[in-house]
Amino acid sequence: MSNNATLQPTTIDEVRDAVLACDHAVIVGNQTKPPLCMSDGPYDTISVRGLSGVVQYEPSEFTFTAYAGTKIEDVQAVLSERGQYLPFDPMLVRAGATLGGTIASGLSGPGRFRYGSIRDFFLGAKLTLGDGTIVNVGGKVVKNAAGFDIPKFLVGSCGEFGAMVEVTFKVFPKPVDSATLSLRCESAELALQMMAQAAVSRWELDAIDYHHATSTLYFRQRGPQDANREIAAEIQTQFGELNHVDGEVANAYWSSITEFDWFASAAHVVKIPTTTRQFPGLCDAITASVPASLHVSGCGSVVWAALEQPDSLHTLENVLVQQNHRGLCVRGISNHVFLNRQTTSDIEVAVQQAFDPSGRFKRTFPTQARDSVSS
Amino acid sequence: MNSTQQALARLTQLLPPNRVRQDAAFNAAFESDGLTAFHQKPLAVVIPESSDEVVQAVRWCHNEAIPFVARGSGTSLSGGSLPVANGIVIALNRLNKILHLDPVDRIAVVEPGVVNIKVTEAASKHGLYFAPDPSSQTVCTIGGNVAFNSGGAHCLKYGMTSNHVVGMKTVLGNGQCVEFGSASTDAIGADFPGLFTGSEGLFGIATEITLRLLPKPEKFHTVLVGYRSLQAAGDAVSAVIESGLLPGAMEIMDALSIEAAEAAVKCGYPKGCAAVLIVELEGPRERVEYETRQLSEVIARTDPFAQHVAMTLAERLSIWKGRKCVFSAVGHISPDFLVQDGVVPRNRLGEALVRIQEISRDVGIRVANVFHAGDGNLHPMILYDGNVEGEFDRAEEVCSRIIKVCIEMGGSITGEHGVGMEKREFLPDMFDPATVELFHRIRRAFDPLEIANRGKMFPGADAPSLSMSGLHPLEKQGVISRE
Repeated sequence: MSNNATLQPTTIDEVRDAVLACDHAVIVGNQTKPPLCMSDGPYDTISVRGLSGVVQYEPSEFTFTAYAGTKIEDVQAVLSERGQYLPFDPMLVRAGATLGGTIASGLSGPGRFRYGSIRDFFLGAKLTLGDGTIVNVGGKVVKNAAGFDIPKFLVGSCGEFGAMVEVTFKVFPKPVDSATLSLRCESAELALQMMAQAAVSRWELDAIDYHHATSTLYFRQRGPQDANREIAAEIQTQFGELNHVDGEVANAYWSSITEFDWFASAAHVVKIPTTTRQFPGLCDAITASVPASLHVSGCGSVVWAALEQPDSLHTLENVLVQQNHRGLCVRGISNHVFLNRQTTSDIEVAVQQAFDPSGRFKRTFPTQARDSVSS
Repeated sequence: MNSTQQALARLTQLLPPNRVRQDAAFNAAFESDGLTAFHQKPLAVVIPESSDEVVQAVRWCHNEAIPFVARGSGTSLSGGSLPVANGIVIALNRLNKILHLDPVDRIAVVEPGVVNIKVTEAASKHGLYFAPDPSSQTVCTIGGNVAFNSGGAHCLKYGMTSNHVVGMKTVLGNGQCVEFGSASTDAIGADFPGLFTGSEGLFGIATEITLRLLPKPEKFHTVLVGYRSLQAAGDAVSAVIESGLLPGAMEIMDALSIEAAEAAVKCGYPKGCAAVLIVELEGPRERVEYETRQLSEVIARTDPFAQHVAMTLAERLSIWKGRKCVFSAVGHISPDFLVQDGVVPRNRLGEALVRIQEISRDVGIRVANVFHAGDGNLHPMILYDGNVEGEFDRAEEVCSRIIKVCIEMGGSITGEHGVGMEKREFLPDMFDPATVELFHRIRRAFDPLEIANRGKMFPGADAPSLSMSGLHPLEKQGVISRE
């Protein structure tokens, strides 16, 4: 079968049967990242959104295991009852993102600054391979050095190696309180200087983001209220007058980042990995070429570019080629997913074949011809 | 000259003078590693002085189909850097430069032979440090940490080595040079740095590694609590976790371990307790002060037998000294020992300890216990006398049964030492045949000839000779200790 059918298994066995029924399969959850849910050429879609639910939750272990199609929002509700959370701030939660889709897309939010991104919390998985065999990779405990660390490898893999059916995560106790501070920062270069100072400070901030669209730097603290207040006073001494963002307003702000709705409208949202040192130059180059609203997250580890025009992906790709950056289109209707994609290396091909010899999960993402990029 | 000697002559020609050593006396130092139970003579030891020379050596191995083992300081406790028969050792100690340290991007780019603690020493002036801290960190190298995904006492909060590696340049077992990851902590596409880290040297050699650095905690609060039973200490760990605290470290030692530590370094732990629990909070002083009050209330409810709070840095280091020395200290109460490294779910620690005591009684071999209680990582030390016939075999039986308990409880056969040589027979107990077969296929994708660290991780390969056990020579000198 490869005729654009959509299969909706609700059990692990049904996922296996669905995989075997497809010549080429694209695994999806709630399709909150539409560009990652398609492939060139004939393929069938296997939606695991029906394979949902928490299988095991041990608050005292700081771990849970759930089916891959479980909505993160549902997981957060369960964790919240026991005062725990996923510190990396999963993206598109209200939009319905699933655990499997969040792993496969490799997206993390502002909270990734303090304790790491999704790769640092994903411990183990049950994975259906292209030949229908089911493998169990990683583990279910917070510390494990046995076998190859395939769970990490699956982060950002876009479902090209198998269909995740069950996943295990590490969680943390949720700090008792949080506080958000903001300050105007007229240039990205100035923001860089402040971010660099804040990142190595004793304050151990939870998030350091720069909202390029409004030239505003945001610091988030997580901890007891009194401690937050005292640390905020010290930050103010160092950086000047700060705006203490009210709790609900702060929550709404951080949510606008993770839900990609800080902008009025956007044709596409593109993730661009970068560094603290590199982001100002990158932002300048993008805004000089493309109508875009930018947000810098994780203390500069990623720039989110919300493009206003539907046809500006190619222009953005031009900029990324010049700046030696890569991009991943995660929102908007587009079959142009990887911007400035590098040639697939021999080892990438060999590892893909090791997982999936028959190429059932191999995706063909259209890449813009290089001559049109430079035109 | 046989064909192997002819091949070695070609390697000698390929590299600058004095890079290839075949003299038995020199090479004897490379016959074993931190797992002294095994030894194996290598064909030759290659000591490259640049990444290009590493690449040339690996490509020579690939062309000649001769296996190689990359080695740093040889502190592996799973026999991970044990030479393979008819293979060479590539000693990376001279690739020991920190190539780049960027306090703005908070990364360090290092060569594989850089000693772990040197990264923190270099980063320190910028207020940064490298979080993974295996007890051998004063001698173990980053290359080995990457190969075996080393841990330490702070893994619950900060993760293992793989959580702090963002990129690397490699030469694979197939001879290709490939770069994975970047300076960014974010990425697009499958996470190759994550896959390479912890691959136990079976994929190739990382010749340059990009590490993530963290801000140094401002303040520590370290408390040592004595309990009347191991179970009480285990319950206290659960109480701390359930209170919502996230300590940087939580360690438990049982009475036998305390006795050993006391004999070795006079650590002054409370007398008469059956177990001690060390809890360390860390962070900005305001948060630590708040959490200290919270911790104090929790501890008070756990019926402690004795309690000591470190008021000075010297007192903090003194508390840790007893814990950190314990493996080498066991030499004071037993002529030989094996150290085990398994993981159980944290809330089954008490049950696991009871099972270990049962096994100990059943086999008639003493077992001392220390563990990273925060993450359920057990390190039972199986004490025996190698001069007593049959004791080594019985000690091995204890090891084996403990590991099976870890698997049965849903834990892991290794928390931080890796599978290596020591636990390769247990790999199929933890992973089903389909998963092990997938591991094999992935390994062959990187190294079709299986020349990189052949004989490790997977069961069934030829075993080298068993010779001795007990302390690593460096441990005997007090240079390194084990987690």
